Amino acid sequence: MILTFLFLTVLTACSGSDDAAQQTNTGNPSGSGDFPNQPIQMIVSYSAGAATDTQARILAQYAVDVFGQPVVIVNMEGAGGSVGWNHFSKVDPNGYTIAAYNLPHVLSKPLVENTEYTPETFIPLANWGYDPVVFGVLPNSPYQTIDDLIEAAKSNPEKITIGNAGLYVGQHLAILMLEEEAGIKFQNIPFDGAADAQAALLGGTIDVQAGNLSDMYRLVDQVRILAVAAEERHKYLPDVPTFMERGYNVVMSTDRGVAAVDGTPPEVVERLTDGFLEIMNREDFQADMEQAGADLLIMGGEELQQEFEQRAKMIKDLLTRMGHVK
Amino acid sequence: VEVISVLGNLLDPSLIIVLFVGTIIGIVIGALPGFTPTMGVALIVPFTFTMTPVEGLTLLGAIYGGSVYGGSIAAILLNIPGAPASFATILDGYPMAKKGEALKALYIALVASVIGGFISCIALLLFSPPMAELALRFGPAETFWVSVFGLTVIASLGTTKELVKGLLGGTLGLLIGTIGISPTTGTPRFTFGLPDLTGGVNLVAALIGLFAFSQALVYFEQLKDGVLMALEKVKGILWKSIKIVFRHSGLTFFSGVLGTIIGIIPGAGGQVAAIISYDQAKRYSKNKEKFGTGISEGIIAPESANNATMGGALIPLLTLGIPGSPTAAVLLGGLLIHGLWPGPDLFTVNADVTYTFMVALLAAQIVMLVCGALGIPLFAKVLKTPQYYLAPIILVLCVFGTFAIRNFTFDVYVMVVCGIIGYLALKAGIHPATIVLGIILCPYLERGLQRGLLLGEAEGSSIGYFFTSTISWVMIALILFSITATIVMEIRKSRKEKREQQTSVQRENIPFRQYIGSKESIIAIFFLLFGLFVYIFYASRLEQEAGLLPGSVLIIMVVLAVIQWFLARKYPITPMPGLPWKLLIEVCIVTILFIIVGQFVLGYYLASVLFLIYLPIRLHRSLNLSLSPRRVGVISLVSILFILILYISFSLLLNVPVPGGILF
Repeated sequence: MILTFLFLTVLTACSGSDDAAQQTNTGNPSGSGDFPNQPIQMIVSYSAGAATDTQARILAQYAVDVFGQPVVIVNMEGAGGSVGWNHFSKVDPNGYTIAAYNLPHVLSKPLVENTEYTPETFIPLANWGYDPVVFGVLPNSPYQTIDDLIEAAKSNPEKITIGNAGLYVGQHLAILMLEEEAGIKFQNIPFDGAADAQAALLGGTIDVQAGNLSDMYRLVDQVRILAVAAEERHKYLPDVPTFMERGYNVVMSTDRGVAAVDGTPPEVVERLTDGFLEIMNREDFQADMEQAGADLLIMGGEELQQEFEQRAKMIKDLLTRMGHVK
Repeated sequence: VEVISVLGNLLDPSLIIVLFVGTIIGIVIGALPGFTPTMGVALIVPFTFTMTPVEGLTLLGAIYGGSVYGGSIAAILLNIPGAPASFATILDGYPMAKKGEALKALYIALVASVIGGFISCIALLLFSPPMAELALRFGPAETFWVSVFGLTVIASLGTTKELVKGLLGGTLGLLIGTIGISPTTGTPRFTFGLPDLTGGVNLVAALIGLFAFSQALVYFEQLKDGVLMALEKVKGILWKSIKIVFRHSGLTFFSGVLGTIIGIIPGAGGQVAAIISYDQAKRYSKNKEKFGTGISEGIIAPESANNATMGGALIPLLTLGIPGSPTAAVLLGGLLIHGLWPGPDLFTVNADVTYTFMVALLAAQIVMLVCGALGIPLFAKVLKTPQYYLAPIILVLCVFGTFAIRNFTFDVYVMVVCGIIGYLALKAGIHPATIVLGIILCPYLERGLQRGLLLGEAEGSSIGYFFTSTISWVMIALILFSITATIVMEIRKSRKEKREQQTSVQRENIPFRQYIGSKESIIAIFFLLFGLFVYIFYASRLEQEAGLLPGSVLIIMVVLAVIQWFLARKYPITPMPGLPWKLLIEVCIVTILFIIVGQFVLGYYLASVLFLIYLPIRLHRSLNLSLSPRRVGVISLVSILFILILYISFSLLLNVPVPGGILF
């Protein structure tokens, strides 16, 4: 008893007057005219402290201004995000439980794993984050350019080791795309997350790493970035070519945003979309995101829906052609 | 130079408050069974977003350090590791407490923790960039060998008779660790079509089950009216304990350094450091056989090492952005939100923040010594809780703690299943720590193995890859040494035993018909059949890569089962202990009912209240205690108050979405 009293007092003391409203399982909202009239839960499929979580929390901080209700982050990590999204696929479609999504994971994983969610589970509301895939090597690597790497891979199939953050995440898909485009084959080594793969590159375990631009860019002169998987060169890396420039149609990024679950009433979806876009267009929000290292790509509504569908089709075709979809 | 210039920052009163608050929260979270450091840091991360970077980071660091230490309190008093990293502390901490020296054990753990933490903070402060290189040297091959070395520690976890059973427990743990999607092929294994299992068994949920839930069942089994154990007088114990730790200053220092180094290695956290350190202490000790009976060295080694992992784990996090432990990974969020990116910038542009944080961590060790010294007499009062409260409350804490890991109700069921497995293992003479060690090491073992094979394949020789680096060879040498030392020791011991026995009774094989139904034989037959069944009908059908580890583990399990059968025929048959099976089964059923009803109908809070009223009253009946209306009133009041505190902490302060059922 004393223990818990201590626990309580201390918590009260440290958190000050945090009056985040109580929240239970989603109740019964009456109609959608007064939506939202209770706190909204946002499921984050990664642990507290992860990049997705940090950015979602910045978004949530602004929510109460716009919605008049707090957005509460619920972390459900595990299985590369599947634990959280599986749970999300079964929540009440009333708009009071939404989820942070990561592209392309939510589109690719259902094709190759036994997930409960499908790409159709997500009604994308607004997209905030954008992080293109880049290929990087150590400064002492023999590969000066992406062409060097591809030439070497042509003459040594399955001999050049390339690391990524896990099976079927953006980095892995980019590798598959380049292999198909250039007719080459790498020795692909999946790691648990980008940090793990990065350690392997820095330690000289792997020859090449397919990573996020934001992570690799921060290593400054510890890595040499060979190419960016974007349509245009990136403002942070004006001297690094895109794959497209070199004649390989490899465009892949990890995108972050927020989605409602399939079946949510259209008026609620509209309210949420408008609200989140309003937040994302605020300058102070964008400054906060910039500080936390998030590259922004703000999109919503019809445009985002189309992006989802386009990418879903592209990934499905790719994985089917490469024989990954059974 | 930076160090001296930031010392003045420590005088900031708000920073001192943060240090104390963080340390106290940490110790309490660590001390509560079912609540872990990673969870504590994760729940507090959001609160740091509005603080200054130094305050926020210091708060998280203080919670981290405090909770790793706090875990030893439950380990010593309740035989339940409060934090995963303190699971080695139960081996000698609880036996010492049982001898009536609970306070001595607690103070020794405190002093050892503080010194271990100090050593690692000094390393963090002075040698961060050069030591970070070490994190990068651990590629797949090195990780694989370290995991194998970790498994050899099982030999330290019991007596000769238990060695083979310990290894069986290890294989069971490894097998549980392979549940889920294969990391390199994406093949689901042992998931039985359940999507919830594709991510594997959550380590912390398994840990809470195997240690805390199973121990609660032991309390029910040994239920008696009154308290768990008696306490000695407080006076003078702190000083005595400090002297004891300093008498073993070599061991304390060695464990602290070992813990720091293991902390630096990405992935491996305090639990690995603690158990390896315990193993080393035992191996090189003059009184090996006294380990496990409650000796000081058995507490100093793991406690100094596990607190030392904190500083170690922060070294690669701050310099490279690579967390050295799961808790350090969560701490990353506290850095990112303030725009502090790990890397060279942290030591140049933001040097002021970084060094103030490091110095504050050093100061946190002193704060921990103060808070711990003052808090221990309070914590020890938990032993005064009547047993009919204690065990049910531990069960409720297990449920809430497991849920709060990642807000996932499935984990709660996993925890209960692991708890029952853990209890049965205890009854079979298999220490749950062996199973836990298997579960902890499995991911490193498998990922190291699979990635090493893939990398080796590209280089031309899959196997050769594992024998290329210096670190690999050093690890191989350590493994071989560890195994030979164990075998030599076992042979010597059995010779000695034989000599002693020749004078007394001649040892013979027990007649087959008598043996077949004995406990040892049932264990052997169970593992034999289980291993064969799973291998033939499941593991052998998996794709080659995905099935490599589960298949090998199952084959080893079958071989060990056969060895167990023949070895144990020489041991005298111990009669099956008479256990209150009816009560135990009832408790398990009631707990599962409580979880189901809580999740779907009443909500966790209301269900917990009913559970905490029903069980103590029910236990009064089995204890033949009189149950006056006043007693019932007190029980109800205590239960309601207890749950109210949980409600305020979880729902109001921490925003954990505890299941509300249909009523809420």
